[in-house]
Order: sequence, then structure tokens, then C-alpha cells
Amino acid sequence: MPRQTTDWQDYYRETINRLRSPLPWYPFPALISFGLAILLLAHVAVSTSRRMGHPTSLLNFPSTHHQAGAIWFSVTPINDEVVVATANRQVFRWPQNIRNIEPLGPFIAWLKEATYQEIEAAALLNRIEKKQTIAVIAADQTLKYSHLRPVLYALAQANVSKYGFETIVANKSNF
Amino acid sequence: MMYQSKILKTKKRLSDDSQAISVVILAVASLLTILGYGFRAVTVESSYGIIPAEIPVIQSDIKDPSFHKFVETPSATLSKFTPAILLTTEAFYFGDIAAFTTKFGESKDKYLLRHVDGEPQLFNLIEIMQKWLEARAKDENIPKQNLLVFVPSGDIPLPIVMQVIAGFHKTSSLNRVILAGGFL
Repeated sequence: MPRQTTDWQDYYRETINRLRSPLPWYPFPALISFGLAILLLAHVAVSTSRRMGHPTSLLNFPSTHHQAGAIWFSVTPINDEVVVATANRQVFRWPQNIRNIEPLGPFIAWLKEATYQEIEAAALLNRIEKKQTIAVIAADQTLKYSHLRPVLYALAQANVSKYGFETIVANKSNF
Repeated sequence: MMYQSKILKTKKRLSDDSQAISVVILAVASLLTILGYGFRAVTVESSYGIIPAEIPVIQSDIKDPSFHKFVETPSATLSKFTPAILLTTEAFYFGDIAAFTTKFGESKDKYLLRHVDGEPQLFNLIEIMQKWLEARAKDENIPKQNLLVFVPSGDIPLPIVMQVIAGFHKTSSLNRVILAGGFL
């Protein structure tokens, strides 16, 4: 007498047969996932370029090569404002025709905090690197000197005595 | 019959998967290469340089209580004889600080170098200033300093300011530039 089967038993047997049969594409999804994970870890998770997302167009000019400074920020004129964006993605704005130093308060506070952190790190390590002693300004080419003056006042308020303007140095190949 | 044989031949051709593995490997390698370039474009930076400038500081005598008793000495001092340059849209004006401050009304201690077709004559300025400093040191016994106070006017584009600083930075005689907001 034939055994009676239900639908779910047929489905179960079909699934077992399907899972037991060899797959022609077996290792490749795992390999692709592994490769993507390796790429992500090697590039993006370690660090992204601090300059990503900054709309600053730097001057292309041969100058002394310099490592990325400990204090780095970009200055860009956008609409009627001067926009300063820092390496840790903080953004400060003030009008281009600024007449007093009050709107620069948050930026000056950030500068003071950044310099304090560098001093504290150097004191604990009993060592300071050259890049820690200089503030690097990535200034947009369309800026005028009147737009930059408040930034220099802010640097002076934060007791920064050495600063520099960042430029792109043409290189044969960066890849 | 002819169509059936064609269908059978097509099925047989399409079911030949001897090239499948190599195609898949090539596709994966291409995908990883493109992704690798993409991620490097995001993370690898170009080569950058820096044009340095300074803000002068006031010396304060803080005694170092530690063993080394470190004392910081100033490397240079601003004085009324420090060379100063004004940059406007018409010309370079140069002299010393006193010429643009306490002796602003006098005309004999300031010099003018006009732009040619709107282009600042930076190299001429550097050459003339070096000769002027040499003559001052020889005739008036004014010691030469490697400091320079640079005051651009507000409407000067920043790239020109940067290139002027870079031009002076390359000289041995005026390689420390102080950007100023103006004279009082």
C-alpha cells in the first residue's frame, strides 16, 4: 500500500535534493564579499581624506612639501559668507563684510581647543613634531585678502604664531 | 525539422559552460580593480605644499623651573627699520615701517614699483629691495633683517598674496614674511 505523502514532505524532499546538488557558482559570492571587505578595511575604514567634501579649490603652485598639519581648515567664500570647515567636519560661517570679531567666537574657541590638545599631547609625549607647530589654511583661489583678514585675527587670538597656505604640488602620478 | 535542429544546436551551445568560470573570474577581478581605484580616489591624497607666514609674538620672561632652565631667545625683532611692502591694484610700495607709520607724510623714504599691464613685478621688486637693503646697510649702518611686513590691500586676490609670499620666501635676505592687516 503506497505511503501517503503531504505537500510539505514533497517540498522538504525537493529542498534536500536541491541543497545536496553541487553549485557551479559556489565560492564566488564569498570571494566577492571577502574582497569588498578587504578593500573597505584597507582604504575607507582606516581613513578618508580630510579634504573630502570641502569645496575649496586650492592654488596649484610648487611649494615646500609639507605633511598635513595638525590644525587644518579650509576657507571658502560661498554666497555672501566665508565658510570655514575644519578637519573634524566642524563648520563656521560669518558674513564676508564682517566688521567686528564677535561672529568669529566659535571659530576662535575651536582654534584654542585644537592648540590646547596639541600642546597637551606634546607635553605628555615629551616630544613635538614640526607639523604640530603650524596651522595650515586651505584657502580657496577665489578669496580676497579682505576675506582672510578675520582668519588671521582669529589665529592671533588663539595664540597661533606660525601658519601657512596650502597649495597643490603637481606630481607625475599619485596612483 | 530545421527549426528544431536549430533550437537543439542553440541549447547545446548555450549549455556549454566551459568558459563560465574564466568569465566569472575576469568579472570579479575587474570589479575589484574598479572598486580599488574608486576607494583610492576617496582616500589617497594628492601632494600638497605649504607657503609659510608668521604672526609676531611678544616676548614674555617665563622662568623654567626644570633642570634644563630653558630660555627662549628671539630670533628676530620687529623695529621701525623693518622692511615693509604695500600691495595695491596699481603698484608695490616699499620702505620701512616708520615710512608708513610715524613718517607717513614724507615722500623720500618710500618707493613705488608700478604693475605692468596689471601684473605685479615681483622679481623686479625682490631685486630692487635687495639692492636697497644693501645700500642702507652700507650707507646708513642699518642692520639687515630677514623679516618683511607685507600689507596687501583688501581687494587683492589671495593667490597673488600667496605667490608674493612664496617669492620672498625663496630669497635668503627676506624669507620671513609677516602678513599684516594694515597700519595704524
